[in-house]
Order: sequence, then structure tokens, then C-alpha cells
Amino acid sequence: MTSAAYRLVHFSPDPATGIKYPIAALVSSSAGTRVEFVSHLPDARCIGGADRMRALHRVQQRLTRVSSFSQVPSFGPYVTFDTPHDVPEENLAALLRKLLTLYAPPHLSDADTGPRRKSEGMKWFTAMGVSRFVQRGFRPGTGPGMFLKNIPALEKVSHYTAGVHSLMLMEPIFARPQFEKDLKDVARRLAAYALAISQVSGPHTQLYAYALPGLSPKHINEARRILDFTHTKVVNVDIPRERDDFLGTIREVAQASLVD
Amino acid sequence: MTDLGGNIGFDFAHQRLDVIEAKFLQKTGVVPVNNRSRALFMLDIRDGEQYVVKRGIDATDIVAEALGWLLSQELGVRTPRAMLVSDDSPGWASHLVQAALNWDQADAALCNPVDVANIFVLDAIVGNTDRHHDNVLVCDEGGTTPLLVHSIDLGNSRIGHALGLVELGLDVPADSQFLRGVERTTIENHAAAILARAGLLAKDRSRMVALCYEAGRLTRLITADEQKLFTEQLLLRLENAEKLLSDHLDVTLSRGAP
Repeated sequence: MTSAAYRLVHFSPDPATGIKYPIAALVSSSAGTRVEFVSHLPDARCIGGADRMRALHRVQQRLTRVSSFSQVPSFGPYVTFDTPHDVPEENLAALLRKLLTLYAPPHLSDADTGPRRKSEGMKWFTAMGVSRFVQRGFRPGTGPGMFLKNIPALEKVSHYTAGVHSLMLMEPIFARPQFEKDLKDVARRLAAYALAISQVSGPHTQLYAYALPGLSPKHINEARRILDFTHTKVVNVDIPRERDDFLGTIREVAQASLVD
Repeated sequence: MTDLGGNIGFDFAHQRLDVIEAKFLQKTGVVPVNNRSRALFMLDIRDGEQYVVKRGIDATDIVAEALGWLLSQELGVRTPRAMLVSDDSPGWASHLVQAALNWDQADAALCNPVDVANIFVLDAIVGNTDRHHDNVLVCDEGGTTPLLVHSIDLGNSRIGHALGLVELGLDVPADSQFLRGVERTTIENHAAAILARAGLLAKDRSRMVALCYEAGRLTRLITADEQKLFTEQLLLRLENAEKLLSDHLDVTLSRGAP
């Protein structure tokens, strides 16, 4: 009988009361260390408001990066890791399902809640000092998207920088439980644009998916693999050269429009 | 904040550092903080507010906290409200920053770079040797606002001991620490405002005399002679804040993050 172990991760919205909610389990098995998340999170009203909800979502992002079962990070007074519990590996899946299916019927998915990708991306652009060069919500048929007016079915792109002759369409991706879903969404969106811009004349258009800080190499590679056929450049902002080139291109494209 | 027993409070840079004599009304439990100090961290409630209280700390820690906190206010470093606790077991009470998480290097590029730069300049001036991920709190205000970054825990700063600060002169401690994920250029590019404030404060001797005097009066742990030493050394360090920051970055970057 192979043995596995798990540690429940709790979120304590108010350390004074001692109330805590299980939000994930750190699991060690023959397959290695991984994090399993609860099926649903408690409502913001249960945990004291929007600020705690944002903290909870950020904790989830951080948990996706935990790779050690024994040496867990300290996230602050709102998060605790239980002591390890041993369990036979063949019982692990059923036990985790029981422990982590919480708060709501499974068909009520809240996978789409949490920080919005475009807000997280703009937060990074702001911190990097280029937010004035980056616009939100590229739409075909309006403004710099006029050259795509005959293809209105294209979905919005989170961010763009428009010059006179160049256009950058940018989608952020980052570490969170629904990363796979995010990636599929970005791929679908950008694939449609890749096809569209090859059919019409317009500014030189480059598609980007920029991986916000902390995305694991495994996820970055997955993004590169999936987005390759869409002719999308995947930028890992944790690599200084890639980040600086990306930011430099944004400045160049935006400032070219000012000069012209 | 209530002043018990007609006690003193000092209004400095629109912030007020209170001294409370009575014990906290309700000790609600021990906060699970992975602290590396000898202090006992407790969560208490007073007037409906929650504080993390460090107890069992020695005089130099309290002096460092008080002087460092007052200086933080002057320099515009984001720092939670604080109180001195002066009963049988002196302590330092820091307002619990709501929904804050510890520093994480993966979030560094999402943080307000001015907040981060301010912390490094403060550390360089006060000779802080204890800056690690547990002593920096990060808050997400939502939307596109970069994460706000709060400095806490200056207890292990060289500013806690007057003669130690004199001995340090215009150097920085060799055992300073660095936060993972922070780049030198980020700090240098965003430190202009706080360095300007440090320069102005360096020219305002009377304000620094008042600051050190009040830290002495509140803590009752600093003699008049020590107040003079603190004043002179801090004026000197404020005047040379840019050099100290550069040295601090040299030391910490060469040592790497803890």
C-alpha cells in the first residue's frame, strides 16, 4: 500500500475570531507535490468583504507556485497550513473530493470569479510605468480596429498599443487555478485575430500573450505550445530581456504615433 | 485612539503615536506569524481595532520602533498606525493591516514601485538588518492599482542604540537583507521623492530635535545625551541618504536575499 499525505490550507478572514475556511490542499503522492483547490470559494460576504476576497484570490495564485510539501511559505496571518495527514494513496482522490467539495453544488462553477485578467495586466503596466501607452479593450470596427470592420465577430482583446503603422494586441496570462481555461480563451481569441489580419490589409499587427510574474516554466511552455499556431509571441516578464524588449516595443510603437 | 490615564500622544506629520499604559482589553489569540525574533506576537482588540502586539522586546527594539516609525511618517513611508505599550511588559502595537499578505517575489512587479523604493531608503537610513518577506505587507486595492506595500518591524534597526548609530557613522550594516524579486533599477528610478524629503528634513534641525525628543519622552528609554546623539547622526544620515541607499543596495545585492 503506497502512502500519500495532504495538508489542508485555511484562510482565516479575521484572525481574532479564529474562523477559518479550507481553500485548498497541498498533496504529496507518488506523482509528486501538487495543490488541489476547493470546488468553490466562500462568498465575499462570508469572509468580510471585497478586500479579503482579493487577498484570497491572491493566495490562490501563490498556492499554484508551492512546490514543497514540507517547507511551506508564510503568507501572513490570514493563511495557515495544517499539519500533514497520511492517507493510503488509493483513498486520496476520494478523500480530497470529500474535503474540497464545499459551499455550493458543483454545477455552480465560480471558476470565472477572481481578479480579471485585464485588470491584473493593467496593474503590471502601471507598475512598469507604461500604462499611458496601453489602451484597454481593442474592438474591431472602431478606432485603430477600423481595418477589421468587416469582421465584427472578433472578440475584444484586453489591451492594445496603436501606432501609425503598427498595432500590438496583448492578452495577459497569469498563475491561478483556472489557468488552463484562461489559456484556451486567449488562444481562441488570438487565433481568430491571426486569421483575420492575414486576410485584410492594415497596420503591421503583432499578437502577444504576456505571462505575468510568477507563472511557472511549465505553464509558460504550455502557453508557447498552444499559442504557437496563432503566431502569438509569448512574453515571460520574469526574464528581464524579454520584459524590457516588450516594454521597449510598446514605447516605440506608441511614441511613433505621437511623432507622426 | 484613546489615551488612558491622561497619557501623552505626539502629533507628528499628521500621524499620532500614542502611549497606552493599561493592558489591552482583550487578548484574542496568538497570530500565526513566522517571526524570527524573540518577540511574542499577539492580536488584541482596542476600540474595535485590531493590533499585532510585540511583547517581551528589549529597550533597543522599542526605541528603534518608535524612532523608525516617527521617521517613516516624516519620509512618507507607508506604515501601519502604531502604539507603544507601556505596562509591566513593554511592547509595540502595530495596527493589523486588513487583508494584507506577506511579500512574495512573484508579486514584486505588480507592487507600487515608489512604496518599495521608500522602504529601501528608510532601511538604509535607519540601518535595518531585518527586512525579509515577513516584514513587508502587500495589499491589493483592486482594479488596476498596483499593490500597496507596507513596511513593518523596524525593531532590529541600528537606530535603536545611540552609540551603535554613532559607531555605524555613514556606513550601512553589513548584514542588511534584501527582498527577493526587487531590482536595483526599480528602486533607483523611484526613490527621487523620498530622497528629496530626506534632504529637506536634513536641513530642518529643529524638527529632528523635536522628533528625537518626543521619541525619548514617549518611550522613556532615551536620555537627553542620547537624544542629541540620535539627532546628530540622523541629520547626517538624512543628508547622505542617496549615498546610504547606494551602499545599502551594494551590500544587500552582494549578499542576496534571505
